[in-house]
Amino acid sequence: MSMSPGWKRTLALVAVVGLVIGACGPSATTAPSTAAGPSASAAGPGGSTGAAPSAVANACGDAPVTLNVWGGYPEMDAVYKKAGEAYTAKHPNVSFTIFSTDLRGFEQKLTTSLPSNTAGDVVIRTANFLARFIDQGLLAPVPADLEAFIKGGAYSETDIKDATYKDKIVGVPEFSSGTALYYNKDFLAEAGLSGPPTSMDQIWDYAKKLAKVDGSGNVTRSGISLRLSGQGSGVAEKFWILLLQSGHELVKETAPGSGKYAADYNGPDGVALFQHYVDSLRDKIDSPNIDHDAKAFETKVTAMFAREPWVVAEIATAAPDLVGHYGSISLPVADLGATETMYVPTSAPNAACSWDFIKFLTEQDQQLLIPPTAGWLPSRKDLDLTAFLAANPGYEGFLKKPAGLKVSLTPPIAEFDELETKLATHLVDAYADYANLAGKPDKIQALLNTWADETNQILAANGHGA
Amino acid sequence: MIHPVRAVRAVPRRTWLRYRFVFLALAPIMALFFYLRVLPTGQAIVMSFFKWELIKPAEQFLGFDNYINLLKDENFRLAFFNTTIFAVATTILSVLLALLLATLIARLVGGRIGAGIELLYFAPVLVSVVPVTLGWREIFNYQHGILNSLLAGIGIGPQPWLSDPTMTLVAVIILSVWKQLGYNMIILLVGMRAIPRLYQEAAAVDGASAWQQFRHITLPLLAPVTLFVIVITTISSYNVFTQVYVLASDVQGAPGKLVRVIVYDIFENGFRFFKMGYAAAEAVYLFLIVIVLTIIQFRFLRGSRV
Amino acid sequence: MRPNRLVPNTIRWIVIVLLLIGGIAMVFPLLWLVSTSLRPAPELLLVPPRLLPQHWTLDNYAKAFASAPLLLYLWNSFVFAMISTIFIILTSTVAGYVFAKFRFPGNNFLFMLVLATAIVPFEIYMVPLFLQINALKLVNTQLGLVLPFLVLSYGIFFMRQNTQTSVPDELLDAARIDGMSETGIMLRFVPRLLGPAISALAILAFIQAWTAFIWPLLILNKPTLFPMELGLSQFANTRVDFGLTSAGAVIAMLPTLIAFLVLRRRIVEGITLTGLRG
Repeated sequence: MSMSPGWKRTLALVAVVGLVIGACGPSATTAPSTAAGPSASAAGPGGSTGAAPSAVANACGDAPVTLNVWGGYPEMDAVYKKAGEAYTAKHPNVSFTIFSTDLRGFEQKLTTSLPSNTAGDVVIRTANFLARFIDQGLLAPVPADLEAFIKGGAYSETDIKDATYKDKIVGVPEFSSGTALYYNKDFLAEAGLSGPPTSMDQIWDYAKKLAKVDGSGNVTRSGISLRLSGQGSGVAEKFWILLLQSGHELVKETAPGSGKYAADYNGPDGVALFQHYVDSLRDKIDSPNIDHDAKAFETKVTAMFAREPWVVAEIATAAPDLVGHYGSISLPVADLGATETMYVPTSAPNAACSWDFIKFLTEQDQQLLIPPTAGWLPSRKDLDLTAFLAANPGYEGFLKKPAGLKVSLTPPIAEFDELETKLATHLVDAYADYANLAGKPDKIQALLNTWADETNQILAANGHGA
Repeated sequence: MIHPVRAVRAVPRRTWLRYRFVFLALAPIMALFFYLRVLPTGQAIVMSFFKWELIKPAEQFLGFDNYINLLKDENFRLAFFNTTIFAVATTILSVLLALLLATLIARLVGGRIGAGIELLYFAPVLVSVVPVTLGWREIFNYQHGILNSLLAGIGIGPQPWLSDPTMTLVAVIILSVWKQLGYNMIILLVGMRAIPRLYQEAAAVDGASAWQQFRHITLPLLAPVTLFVIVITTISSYNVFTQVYVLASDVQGAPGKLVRVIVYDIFENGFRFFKMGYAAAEAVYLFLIVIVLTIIQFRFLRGSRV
Repeated sequence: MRPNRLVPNTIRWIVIVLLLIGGIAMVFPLLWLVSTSLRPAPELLLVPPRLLPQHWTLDNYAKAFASAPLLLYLWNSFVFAMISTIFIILTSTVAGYVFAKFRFPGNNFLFMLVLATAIVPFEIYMVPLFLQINALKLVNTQLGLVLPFLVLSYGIFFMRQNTQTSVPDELLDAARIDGMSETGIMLRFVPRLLGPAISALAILAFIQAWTAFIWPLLILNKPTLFPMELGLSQFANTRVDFGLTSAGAVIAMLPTLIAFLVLRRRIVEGITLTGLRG
């Protein structure tokens, strides 16, 4: 029938035993500390200031060491794993655990573990997100030889800038992102368009020609897939990327180096861009009811959309029939860059070993592993990716950039996330209201001005107001 | 056994024994509870009066500033509005449907078939929220989701489940009722089956119909458990977060419209903007709202003691 | 509670059919998930979507087991869920009984406190809780993982309500008169009356521990300690591999399904202590 007293007692015993085992079980993350090996000073193992730093033989000592590598992009795990295996071949006493989870979980994990000194040995994230932690002294400064190498020409100006915070290089770039315009070649040919668009005006013009509407007035194929909804700051980010093409930012530094910013999206170009959005909705070039983004492109319900390089890998597995029928082209004027950089928490017990592994990851062979394995692009610019590009033409928009392409970065201000997210919320609501806003530039201007006021208020509240 | 001498004690021994028993039984549990729930929650509440940026100790005492600013915050007001509508709808729907289901299964169906039906309705509770919400995104898809296909079959046009603000709220309600229903049903079934058959048989002997039995015996005796189900559904509805987050994220293609709910706003303020003190104040508001509702529900549905 | 045989059979069957239709609608999203897990990658984006895959494949499951030590994760989840369930049942039954059947100063206050903490979202107190556990040096340990899951406010509330419904005062008095000690009543007599409720609580506590994600994410660093949900998120890039994530979800669902089927008998069995119910 129900539980006999004897059974209950056994259960209780099992529970207590289980707890005791758990308490005596494997404990802290910190690997057995290395007796030998250089101390975790900023100087690091001495190396030459040549172009490629070499991994110093005894940075990790001889005692067994486990390095925990933490990243926020699970697809990069395979890269770190392979790199780890290659590194272990050279340093048999070093083993690796790779930890990654989706970005939201990862950021929460960093937020609890860094201040409590329970973080991993190597952490990969953007300088922007980690700025607060850097301010608290929770991340170790980059050793001098690595810093020299970074400045030595292997990386683009943009990557160096993105790894810089308060005029110091704070992390080592690992892989970079950008945005390109994906386009469906068949649809373009069908509409009689000879090649991909090379200017913003052309993009809007193409979109109009590529959209398809059915008998009842529903959009069955969007000419361009705009980012109209979603959580977080994505909507504002996509708006920003298109805004960059007219030479404006979301917030612009009022005078170079002043550290003061002001909203830059409510000028005539911002209004014009917003008009394009709502006019596209009114003119059935895009629709809130149709699928969007990568999925739409892969199921052929959109002709063009702008996104990062990972889409290429996704198309290869999820939509193989599209391979060869699509291409990517760089955005005409400007792009938004983002670099994932590598850090060592101050509390890491084997800092020298951590930096050595980071150094190892910057080697050409390791950087070249990234595109075929994870679909992202490596940060080093002095690599020969021609063979790779020939085999994967989908990356063309990311590897072939027009001369003079300007790359923008997220401004190094803590409140940027907040103002971008709040702007995104406003944009989502406004796009939904497109019927009342299409063709009404004055209304749009007034709306943008109210948003800009809020943006400027947030800047002012954090000491960055103009 | 009443001992004559002891019975004359000034402090009734039975009361003292009773208090001692209660203490010994409850103390370890309450201690655990205090350490694991009360203490951290208390800390968070204290933090709501400070400017706390999560990764460094709080520095600036703000008094009630966080609370006042929240009242002026558009996002918070919208979140409160959305969450309340969501909670009311989800609670009413999932409790009523669960009551209906439990009654039908317990009184009408029974046996193996009843067991099979229980399993079908309980199955949604077993699966993890994230993958199943991604699956629901496909079901709600405007162009080729099965829901719109079904509606087309009965002559209703396709609904913008994930792009229209109102419809997205409806979609989240549907998803949540779906997930909550089986949970509530099982609890009500346990309660129903615990009611001694004796009472119903006595009533039947007295000539009461099935409906009268249900209304005058089953329902009142079920009240404590019904209260439980209503309260926990209300609480968990006010705490809705993951479904909303997944529906609006750009994982697996296009994101749906974000339905701003309180916990999402708390998460955004605390873990995106690092305004943890502000988020804690928001949680206190959430807490106050729900505790008031809970007390009202308790008053309304005071259990009848057998 | 036996089914009412006074209602005509036809009505009964109509109700059954309607319930079954509803039931199929309920499991449809799960069937979809299973179907997705059996598809190869190119079939994930079919337009219009097909319920059944054209090419059945177990690749996703093979990949799941290959890319992660799934059996280890399942075992970790199992140990974690079992410990949590046992403790929750113990603490909830005892506390629920005491709150329901004993009058003492502070009864209502303490109970409301218990309830109150159930209202606050986990995201709010998880950071202070983490820091507390870190102070005890229990980060990345099994004990640290399971500690917050040893009590459940809902559990205490649930058992209190059920005690009120199923344990009449007369029975308790009868037991006392018969000479049973208070402890004996609490640990042997009362749980016998609450069999179904305890089983229901057991399944709910089990599911809660089994599907836990955020806390294991925060407290654990070493992959060998990961429970199922956390382990799954390690390799399943939901962006590209929905097939893989679905396979993981199905694998995670099976043990809880089995647990439910096992416990269901208990949940169904009603009170048959006809002797005591005189």
